[in-house]
Amino acid sequence: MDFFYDMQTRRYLLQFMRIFSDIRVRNGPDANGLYTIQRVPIMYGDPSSMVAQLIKGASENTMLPVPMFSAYIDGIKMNDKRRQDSQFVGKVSTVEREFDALTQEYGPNPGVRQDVERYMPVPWDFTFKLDVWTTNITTKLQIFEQIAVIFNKSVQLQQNSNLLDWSSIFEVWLEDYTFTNRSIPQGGTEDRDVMSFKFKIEGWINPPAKVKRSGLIAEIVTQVYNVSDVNAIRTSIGEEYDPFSCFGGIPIQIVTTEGNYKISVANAGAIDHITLLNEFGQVDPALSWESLIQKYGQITPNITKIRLKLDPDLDVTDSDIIGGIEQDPLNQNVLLFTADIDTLPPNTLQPITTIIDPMEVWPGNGLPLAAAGQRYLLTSADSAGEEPAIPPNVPTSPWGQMLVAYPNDVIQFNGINWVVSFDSQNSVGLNYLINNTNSSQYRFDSTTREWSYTYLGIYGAGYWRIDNIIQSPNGTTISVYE
Amino acid sequence: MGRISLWNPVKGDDFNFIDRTIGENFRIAGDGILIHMYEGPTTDSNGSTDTSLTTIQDVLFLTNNNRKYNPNVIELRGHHQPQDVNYDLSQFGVFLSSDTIRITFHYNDMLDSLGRKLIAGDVLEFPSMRDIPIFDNAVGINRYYVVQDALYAAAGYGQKWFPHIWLVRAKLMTASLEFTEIIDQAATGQTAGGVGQGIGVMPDGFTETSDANGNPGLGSNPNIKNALDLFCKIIKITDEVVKEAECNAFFDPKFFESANLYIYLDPNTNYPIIGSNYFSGDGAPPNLSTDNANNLVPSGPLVGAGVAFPPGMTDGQYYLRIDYYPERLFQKQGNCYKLIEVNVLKSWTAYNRVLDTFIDNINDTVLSDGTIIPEKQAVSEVVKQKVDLYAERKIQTTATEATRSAIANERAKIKPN
Repeated sequence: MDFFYDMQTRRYLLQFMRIFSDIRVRNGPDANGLYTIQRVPIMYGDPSSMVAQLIKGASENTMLPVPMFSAYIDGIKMNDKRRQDSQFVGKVSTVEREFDALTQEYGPNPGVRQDVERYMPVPWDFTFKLDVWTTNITTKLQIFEQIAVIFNKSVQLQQNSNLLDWSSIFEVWLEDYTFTNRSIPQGGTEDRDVMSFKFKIEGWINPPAKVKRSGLIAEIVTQVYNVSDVNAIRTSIGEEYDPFSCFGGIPIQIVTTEGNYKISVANAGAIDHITLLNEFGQVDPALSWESLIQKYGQITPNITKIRLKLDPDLDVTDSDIIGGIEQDPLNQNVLLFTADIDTLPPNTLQPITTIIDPMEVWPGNGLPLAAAGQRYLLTSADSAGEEPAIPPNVPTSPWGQMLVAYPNDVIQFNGINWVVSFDSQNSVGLNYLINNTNSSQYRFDSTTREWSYTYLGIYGAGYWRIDNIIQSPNGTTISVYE
Repeated sequence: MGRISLWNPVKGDDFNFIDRTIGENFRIAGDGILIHMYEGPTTDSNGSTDTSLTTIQDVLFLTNNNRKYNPNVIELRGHHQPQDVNYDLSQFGVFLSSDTIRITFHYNDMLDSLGRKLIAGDVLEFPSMRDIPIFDNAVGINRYYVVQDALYAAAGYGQKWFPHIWLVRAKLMTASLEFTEIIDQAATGQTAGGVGQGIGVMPDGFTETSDANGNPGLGSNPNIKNALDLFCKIIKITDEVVKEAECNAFFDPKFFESANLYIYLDPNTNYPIIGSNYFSGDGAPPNLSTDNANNLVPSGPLVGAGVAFPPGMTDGQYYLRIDYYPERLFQKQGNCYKLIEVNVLKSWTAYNRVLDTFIDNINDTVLSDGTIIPEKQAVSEVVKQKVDLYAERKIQTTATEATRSAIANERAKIKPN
């Protein structure tokens, strides 16, 4: 059993003693007719002998002050009548205000969201006793009268002021009272006169709580199966724990998200822009990333990431592109996106210098003179791919009479001639390269025979997700996503 | 020749011889004990300060709580038997297992020195038992006992059957109301309770509490008082307990520290969504500073605080009404002012909020004739008649009853039934 201790009984006792910590008595009049008001101290009634002697100054001559309170635990007993569902787990969701760790101040916007799970505490009744030592009955009655009006017949206190502690409020009941410990008549001995109160506190002892990142549902994916035989489904459900596991293949996935917003990821120079689109894929300047994200938490620079899903199957995450985001200060519907290099697919081809139409520009005409290592991705205004972008056997061709290259090919100058470095007509699978002009990565799919940006484009609902949107109070990111 | 008899109602020379011998024994071998003579209560039951030794201060409970002691301390020589004691741990701290001491004094020397017998209430101070507590700045302090009862000692009767010795049973003194003057006198060095001060017998390292001229006793010395009276030590412990309790719940019960939690606002109206979370109960608009002084900015959400809503409040603005108890925060929502939350921040008390206003009450009431009276008054004292309007009726009633009672007594003498 792992250790835990939350000082719960101690807190009950502290608040109990606090009740009597400011009771006062009036002394006097003295020889000058003046009165004095004196607080009655309170001390725990079962001190260690060593500390008690230290308080006494290790001297027989020091004098204990009178009157004085003494409070102590007389007994603790479980109360079966107050027992509730003993295995109940109470959950509560909270959203903290955004917190600036640097300035140590809370801001006006929502911050981290946390779910708190509390296990049913155990009902224990505490019996606390309060002894009052007095040296005369006048003082005793002064104290009695002040305590007597507090308990009618109980007072309600807090053992702490945490809103989420469901046992923070407790009741102190005055159960019994003894005016004096002495017998009347006293006889030959004069004992210390002690007035005693007995109180019952209906307390609760809690096990530790669980604090989790909020389980707020941000996305619902509904699996729809193309099966018409209802009886077959019924049979399968009866036989299998997971009804979805009994069918093979990828189901149709219907994604429902907050607002069903789409996004547009576009290159904007050195940094990419992610624009929030409405459910129809249209730009709406009134849309606000901040408003949307506030429903879930907050963006924490360098921690909060956006995930762009490239694979049509939402359950496949291998090809996800992940990058950091910041709010564009100029446009509320735009995030500034920096893709994490590590999440980009590895380049299979050398970077290109730029993309050109070889019939429009060539070395010395819109392009620098040929130099070894120059690489161009070809496109063509005249050919969709069936015709070469650089036809052969053209004596005046600036690319060389023998070069044949098609749109989507990459050509490279080897120091003597231009040659085809990437043959799009005969490539297989996926190929990736970087365009040095804009630092963007491009992907060539041999199936579609098209180049495209690796991750730029429109993403539908469910195909983008913001991760690490919540930050725990100590600044560490809660990594468990539920 | 008369019969031989030791008994003679006249004490005579034999008695005097034996008495002087016994007295000499006390003077030579006795412990020097300082006597703080009780002089009576500070007031009598009517509040008069004209009291004597036999005045009873509280005639109902028969107690003398506020006592006067003669500041002029007188030394008497007494015999007592030192005994081994243990510390006895109680719920109030440690006591001595035996806090009672029996001391015998020479009766006639006592009368000569004090002018009366030692009686219950007198305080005995023992310089021989002087000790230094381990506190910082502690000074040496004597031990104090209070006389519980005083009688002739059985062993003190002489051959002529006359007593010579006065036996006193005394208990350790407490730092209580009854002995305030004793402790004050010791602290001010007015009595030999400050023995050791200014006469060079203080141990090394301990502060002399004498004045500039070496005379003990100008002003109260807190080091003496705190060494003698543990009140400051124990009230400090109490304060530490309260301090720890405050860490758990600082403000009055029912307040929750939830200002760190976000309260959702309706995006269309900017009105707080009640139930989206708990208000912190600080009287501040949601999600802003808990200190409204920071929230009072021009055209800000909080317009101000006062006893009436100001004109010109716009939709969504807040206003704190301080004429309510507790204060209430309102928000203008359309054409109405909606209660948002109350300010429950107040000092912690054990009793409920309403009872608070009756007990912790320093308000004054100004009557229509300009008289200012405290609002807080005992129920038995409220609106009492300023003069006794029934004084004459009381005299008449008393006289009538006396006449009737006298007749009844006369008749009872004649026929008892």
